[in-house]
Amino acid sequence: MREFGSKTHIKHFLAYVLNVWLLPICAVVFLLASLVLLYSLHDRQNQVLSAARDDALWAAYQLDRENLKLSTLIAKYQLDLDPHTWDELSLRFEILYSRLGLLERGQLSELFDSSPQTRVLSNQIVQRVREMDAIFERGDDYAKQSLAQVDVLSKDILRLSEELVTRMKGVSAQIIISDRQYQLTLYGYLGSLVILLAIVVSMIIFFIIRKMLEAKHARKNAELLAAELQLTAIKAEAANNSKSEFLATMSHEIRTPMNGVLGMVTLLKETPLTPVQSDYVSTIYGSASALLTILNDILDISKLEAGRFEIDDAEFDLVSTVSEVTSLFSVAAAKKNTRIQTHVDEEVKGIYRSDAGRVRQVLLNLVGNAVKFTDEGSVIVSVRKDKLRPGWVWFSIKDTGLGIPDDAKNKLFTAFTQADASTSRKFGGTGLGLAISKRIVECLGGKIGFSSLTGVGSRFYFTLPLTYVASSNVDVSSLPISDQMKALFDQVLESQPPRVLTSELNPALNTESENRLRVLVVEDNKVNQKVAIGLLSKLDQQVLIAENGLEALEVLEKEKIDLVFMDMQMPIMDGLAAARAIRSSNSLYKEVPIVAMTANAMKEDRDNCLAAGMNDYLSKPIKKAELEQMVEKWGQIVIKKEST
Amino acid sequence: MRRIFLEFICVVALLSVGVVHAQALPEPNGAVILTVSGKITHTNFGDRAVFDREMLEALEQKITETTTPWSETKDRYEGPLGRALLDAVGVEGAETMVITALNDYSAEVPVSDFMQIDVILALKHNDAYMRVRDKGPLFVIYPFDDEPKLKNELYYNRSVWQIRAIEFR
Repeated sequence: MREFGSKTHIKHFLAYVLNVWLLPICAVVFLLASLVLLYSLHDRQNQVLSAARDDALWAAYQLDRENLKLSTLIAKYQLDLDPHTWDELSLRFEILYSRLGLLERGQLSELFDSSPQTRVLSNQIVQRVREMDAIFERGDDYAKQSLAQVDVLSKDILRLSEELVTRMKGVSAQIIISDRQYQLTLYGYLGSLVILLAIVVSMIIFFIIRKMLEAKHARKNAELLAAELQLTAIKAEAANNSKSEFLATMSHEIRTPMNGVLGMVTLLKETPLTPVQSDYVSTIYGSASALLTILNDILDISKLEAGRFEIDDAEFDLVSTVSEVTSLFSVAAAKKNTRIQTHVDEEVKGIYRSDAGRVRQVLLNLVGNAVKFTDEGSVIVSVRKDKLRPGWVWFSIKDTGLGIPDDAKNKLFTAFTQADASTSRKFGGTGLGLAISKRIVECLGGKIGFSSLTGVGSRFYFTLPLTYVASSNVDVSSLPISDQMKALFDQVLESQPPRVLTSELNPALNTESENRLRVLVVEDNKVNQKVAIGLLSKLDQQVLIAENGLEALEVLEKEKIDLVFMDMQMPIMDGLAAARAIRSSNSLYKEVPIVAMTANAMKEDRDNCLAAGMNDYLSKPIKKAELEQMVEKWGQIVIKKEST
Repeated sequence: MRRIFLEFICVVALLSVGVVHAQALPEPNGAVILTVSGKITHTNFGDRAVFDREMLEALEQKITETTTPWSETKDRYEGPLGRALLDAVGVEGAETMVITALNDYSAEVPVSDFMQIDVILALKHNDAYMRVRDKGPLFVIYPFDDEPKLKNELYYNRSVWQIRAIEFR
């Protein structure tokens, strides 16, 4: 198997080499071969040889000619016996002799070897010239006597040299032909190589151009894709934003009728009911509260996602904030045999500045979760300085609950996710709590995280940059749970039954009470009117109704009013206009306290209310506790409470 | 003006001829081995200049070591520089010289060859005087090994041996 693998590897490697390197290698090989051929064609040795070839023929001819001259002089001397002729004859012989060197040595002599006949001929000539030389060596007198012998030799040479010339001519022609053949062959090779080279180079150029075109194409595609992706991302963002907007609007719209349902159910509970009916009403209340919580969560997360998150800056006491939250859950925890312990380091105790409401919300979410998922154990809330970041405060909520399964850890902080669907069924909730907490913490510039071991427990922590303002001297143990916190508590623990105030159902019975105020409710919605009347009546207050701002002004003209609850959006004259009109009038009611009732819990709306001259604001849906607080605060009365 | 200039030229030419004649060639003592004729100003035998071996050896000598197509080895040739011969005979206005061998073979050689290249008329081959049978008495030797561009037929043909006469044309 492995061998097979390595074989295929080699195959791939070879294929790669062939694909990528074949053409360049071919080009280089052809080029080198051409160079070698060119070199051989221009080989100087070759040229010298061909030059010598011509000279060989020339040498043979010269030899023949010199011998002929010698022969002529011999004949002449035999006739005249002139000593001058003899001198010339000797010189001619010397010249003839000098030609021997060419036959015997040097590049020319090699050419006489080119055929056996020419070698034999040249050897015979050399031999005869030497014989002549032997005669001349013995002195002029002997030579003159032996002239006949010399003449015979000369005649012999004449015959031989003639044949040598003829033969050498043939050899020369042969050499020329073979040389030409050889050169033609070389030129042929060279031509083929040049053609091959041209083909290979063209192919390389073709491939390069193709690659360039491909690269260009790919680049273009990438650019197009990037543009498309950008467009898609913009679209997706827009879609997400519109989704958040839609959710925010929808939950806001649904909250208004839910306010009516809750208000009416609260009133219904105060009427005489059979136990069965009472049970039904409690169920309706529980369900409606749960639905409202969900709506609030969705509104919250939608606003956070839509980026409409405003940070309130307020001072708060760290210890009391933490204690308030934990004490809210003490009853619920006790029911499940769970103990809540709180530990705040001495170092961090004090008054801080931040968005107190949001810090509380995160604490409520985390502690609420810890209690919800812990049966018979403990929840430890501890607060200390952040060791890594100076000036930051570290909050930790540790429980001995179920723990979080590994596969759920990644999406724990994502909206609409719970550890698993079955948990959702068992424990309820939207699963938005952690998502909201994470966004809040991040908006406040902090960090949130957790560690968990399934079956052992979880530890959630968050750390925030809080501005230290002053030291605190609040006695934690004696701190009461504020009513506002109770209202929040209602939202977190849906199962918690609402606190019910039992008061006289018939407001007429208490008309003489000192604590009775004349309250004007300016509200166009009939259901909201009913809720307001019901709640205020229960607080033993006299209620007057105005449908809009203009009507409110009319009522104020006629009646003595102690407190005004003003809706914001109304036909004819809205809340803000009415408030401005009241404040700018020169009448007795100019200073009447006005509390806005606004469904828009945005800071901006509240600021608008205060700017229009209103004194305070209430968030819709109106909670009885909050309403009570407002009445006490602005009516400057103490409402008789008869707690259950 | 122009005439005066011409006269001046003539005077200079005559003077220079006089100077040249002042350096007349000596007479040969031994056997004449080279006869120079043609456009020359220094003569010693009628309108010719004749040289014996002694006179040739009195000219500036040079040793050239080179291979030739007619020898397998790198040999040592020694003799007067062609340039020295040109000076000795006072060559004037000649562009070509015809070098003739004992066997009447002749080659035309540009005078510029002798001016620009260190051509020698070799008397000795490997320190021995060349006999006629050894391509003597004079052999035109180009420095083939020193200047490889000379290694072609053109210069091989100009390498005349058994030189008898030179005529400047």
